[in-house]
Amino acid sequence: MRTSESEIAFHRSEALELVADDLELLATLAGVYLSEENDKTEALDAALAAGDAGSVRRIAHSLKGAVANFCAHACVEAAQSLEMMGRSADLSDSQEAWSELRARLKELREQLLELQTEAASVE
Amino acid sequence: MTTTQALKVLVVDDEATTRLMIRANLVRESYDVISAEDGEQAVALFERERPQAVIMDLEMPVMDGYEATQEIKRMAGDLFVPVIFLTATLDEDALVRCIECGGDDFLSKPVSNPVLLAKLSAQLRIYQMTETMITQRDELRLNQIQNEQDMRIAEKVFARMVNQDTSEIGNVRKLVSPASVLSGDVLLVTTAPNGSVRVLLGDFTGHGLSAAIGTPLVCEVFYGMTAKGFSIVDVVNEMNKKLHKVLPTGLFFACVVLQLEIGEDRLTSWCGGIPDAMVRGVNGGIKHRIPSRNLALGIVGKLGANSGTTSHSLEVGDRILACSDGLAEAFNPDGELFGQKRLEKIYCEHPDSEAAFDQLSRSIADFTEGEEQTDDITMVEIVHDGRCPEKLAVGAVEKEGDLRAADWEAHFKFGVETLRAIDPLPLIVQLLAEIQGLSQHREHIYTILAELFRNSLDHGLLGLDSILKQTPDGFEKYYQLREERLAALSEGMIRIELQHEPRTTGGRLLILLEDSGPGFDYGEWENSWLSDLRAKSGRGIALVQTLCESVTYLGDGSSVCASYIWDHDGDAQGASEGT
Repeated sequence: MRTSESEIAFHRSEALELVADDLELLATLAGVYLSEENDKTEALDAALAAGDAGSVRRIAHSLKGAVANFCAHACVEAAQSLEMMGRSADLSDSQEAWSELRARLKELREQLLELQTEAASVE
Repeated sequence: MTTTQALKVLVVDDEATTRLMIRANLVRESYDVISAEDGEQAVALFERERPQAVIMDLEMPVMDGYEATQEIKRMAGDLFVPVIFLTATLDEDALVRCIECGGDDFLSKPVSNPVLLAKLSAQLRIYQMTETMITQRDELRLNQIQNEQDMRIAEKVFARMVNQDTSEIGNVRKLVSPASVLSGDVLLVTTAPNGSVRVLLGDFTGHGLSAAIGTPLVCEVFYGMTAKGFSIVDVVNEMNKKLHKVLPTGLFFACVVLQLEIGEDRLTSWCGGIPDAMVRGVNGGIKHRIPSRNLALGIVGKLGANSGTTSHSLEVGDRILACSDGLAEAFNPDGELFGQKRLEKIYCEHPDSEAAFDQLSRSIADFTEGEEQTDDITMVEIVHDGRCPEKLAVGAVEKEGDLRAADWEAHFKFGVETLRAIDPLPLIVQLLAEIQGLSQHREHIYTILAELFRNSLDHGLLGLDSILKQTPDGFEKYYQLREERLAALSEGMIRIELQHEPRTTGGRLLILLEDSGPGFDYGEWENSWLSDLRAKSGRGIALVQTLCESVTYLGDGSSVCASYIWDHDGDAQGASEGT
């Protein structure tokens, strides 16, 4: 099943440009990202629960960098909101931003899994 | 590094997907990629692997990109290793900090592959350029060190070659100031077998190694031929022939050769292409000027037929000064030249003749005020103090071991053409030294032969009267007449007969000279030769008497026989010592 344009979590063509149209490489990158995503979100959840603004900033920054490689603009934006809150040590609105980021990450995960399947079938 | 070797790039990012993506894109372009997850790892990896470029994230755990970059730049030292920062921010403060800690460029995340490759390529061009510069700089530094070592060795070799032991020649003073380690100026001092002091002051074109390159050749000819008794003209002709053969076009050797004939109060000189030498009289002022009358050596293969020496009479106390052109052309900080006139004024007008040379040396130093000179400066002063150097012909005293004395005899006959063309004495003396091992007696034998031969030629064949030499004008007239009469001589000969017989401790050499001239009344002379020792005429024969067991004139006076007794210790038995 191909994702419609309105539900795009990452911009495939832009992302492919970053890897010189190497679909296999992009799928490999997706695998690396997916293998680390759970650890990062769990760590971010714990930092938010503990009110640890410094850790929130650092983990959100790392997540932002990772999803940026797939041109997942909505994810980048959501991660950046949390990073800014951590940087300003004001986590008062963090739960809403965190919900938004989780939803975007979920969409991205699904589409990256589809990409992996597609790449595997091309092989 | 060679162009065939892949350039190594260190990628530093704590985010695995970013590291992997950049690595894949660079490997595709044949870069050799190594990766680190934080600044600390990056520093360790850089030290071990020495990559040519670094792509560095800013925010990382353990050690951030700023600190890691500073450490890497410190380790790289003079070598330019580009660091390209990865940044998701365009925050001005962050960018300024990147540059301050040594960053060379930026890449924004997500990293565009074409931009990454373009920036990396541009930075690596600078890297390779600086690497080449550093390699060349280090090579130059090594070459310079090697060159300085070579020059120091060459300087020592040249110094030994040029400066023979002239400590016994106390009446020669020198000033040598080379413009570079090796001087293009040459100053050689020695004594001839007859006890005269011979000085060569020369100046090769330019200065430094290229100018000094002909010095060994000049030294060999000058010292070697002078020791064997060759005349100045012979020496100069030989040097010219050899220099012309080896020197490239444009390189030549200007020089003056001065010979102080102490016993005869005479200066013989040959000057080619060098500033005027001069004789300062006992009471100051220029007594004689010795201008250049010849081409410098090495320019033409054969010197002109009229390339000869000039003679000037001297008095005890006269001083001869010769300088290289570096002296008159010495300049002060304002660019003003020292000049020949100033030189002559200081040297010749100084009231104290003993202090004139030192005053000139000081004046040059004061005038130039330490300004680095572009040419070598050399000057030499010969003082005619009337004393013969004790040690004769420093280059000639080579003891060749005790050869067994033998019976032999030799005859030479020289006709007019030969007498005009060559001086046969050095060759005869050399022959004696080689066949009988008489090197230790070379100076004595040379003196005896030279005096007897000159008497035969000058008085026997050319009819010259020694009395002429008693006045300065007559002195110059004497040598002028000698040249004229020798050139006009149409018939005549000189015969030399050498007989040798062994003795218990050495041998006896009989020298018989006969000329075709009219002879002279020697009876009166034989009774008065000892009282003649200090007179200007006839003094040479008196010297011969002191060296020989006997000197006897025969027949009408056109033949003379001298008996020289020698032993293996180098001693001779002269008439003055008793027989």
